[in-house]
Amino acid sequence: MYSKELIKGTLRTVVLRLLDREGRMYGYQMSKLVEDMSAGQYKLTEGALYPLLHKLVKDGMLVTETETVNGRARRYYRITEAGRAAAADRREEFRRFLLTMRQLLDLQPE
Amino acid sequence: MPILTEKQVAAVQAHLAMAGIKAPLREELLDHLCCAIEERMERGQDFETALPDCLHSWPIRHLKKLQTNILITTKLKPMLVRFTATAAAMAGLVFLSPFSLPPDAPMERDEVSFLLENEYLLEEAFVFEPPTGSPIPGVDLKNPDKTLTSTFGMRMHPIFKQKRLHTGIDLKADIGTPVVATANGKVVFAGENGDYGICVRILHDDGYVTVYSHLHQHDVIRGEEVTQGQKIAAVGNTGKSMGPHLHYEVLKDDVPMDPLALLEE
Repeated sequence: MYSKELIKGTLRTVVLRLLDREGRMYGYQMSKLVEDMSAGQYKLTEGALYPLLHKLVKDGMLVTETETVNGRARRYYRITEAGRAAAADRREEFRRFLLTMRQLLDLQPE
Repeated sequence: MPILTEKQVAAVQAHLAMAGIKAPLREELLDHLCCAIEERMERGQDFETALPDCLHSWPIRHLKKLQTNILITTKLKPMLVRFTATAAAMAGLVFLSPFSLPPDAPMERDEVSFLLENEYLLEEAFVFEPPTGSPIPGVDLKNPDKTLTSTFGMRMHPIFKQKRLHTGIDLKADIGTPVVATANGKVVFAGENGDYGICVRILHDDGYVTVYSHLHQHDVIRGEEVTQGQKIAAVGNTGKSMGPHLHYEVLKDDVPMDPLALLEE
């Protein structure tokens, strides 16, 4: 599992990207998908995920929709156009960041 | 996938209630926790084992901290920014406010409601004005005369011959007439967009987006910052259009609004 610092710095990029691709998701679904996709290496803990989601709603990046599923209220997050723009920007920035890190750390593809 | 019974859900709920988590966060965490338990049961655990296993990674002090964090990131931080900006004018309020608290200190209920009430009071002064400019210079949206050929709302679609929501307004103009941004913002799309023809979309503060369609050409590209009144395109007849005109839309959090109604507010 990756360090807290790395996850903290990339969480917003990851969450926005997931929602940009999927359109709408609920919290558990996001943490499950990220865990599966990263083979358990990248963990979205609730303590980090929910404050971020609520912040993104506040900033107009996401809107929420509540539905009843299996007798329980489920809160879905849907990405807005502002969110999609931010998702694309952050993803692109991270792509450039990766290239820079490859130079800085002299990383060779394995 | 197994589904928890009402009784089992109640057992999970009891844990969240013990941590003092308030609705609607409580419902959200309840669903999350129930999903996690169901996942474990799917893998063969029974409820009696899965519950404590899951709760183990959700101790009450973590839950309490989570709730405080949400309050701080969504309520307190934006508040602090606003307060700084109005510090001089609001000297009295600032004197009374509990901002000497260290950020991690749990907030008492009274302090929270104090923050919320004052945020509400202050919000008016800082709210972003919705886009109210005219997309075609010289056209007064408050008195558009014959330029306005279709308003916002349900109408018979001239091409599809069906009743549909017309999600913007149509302004008649000659091909090549300049089209300008109706508020400051950033271009998030510029190019060919199906029925909309050549189209420009601009993202503004507060989740507003303006859309300019059926253009002849666009003068801006994606990512460009634009200011209100800046020429961004020219009127055209591209896409599903029955003659040269500008189809202009305003969206708030992805929901189309009547651009003319915004003028009256």
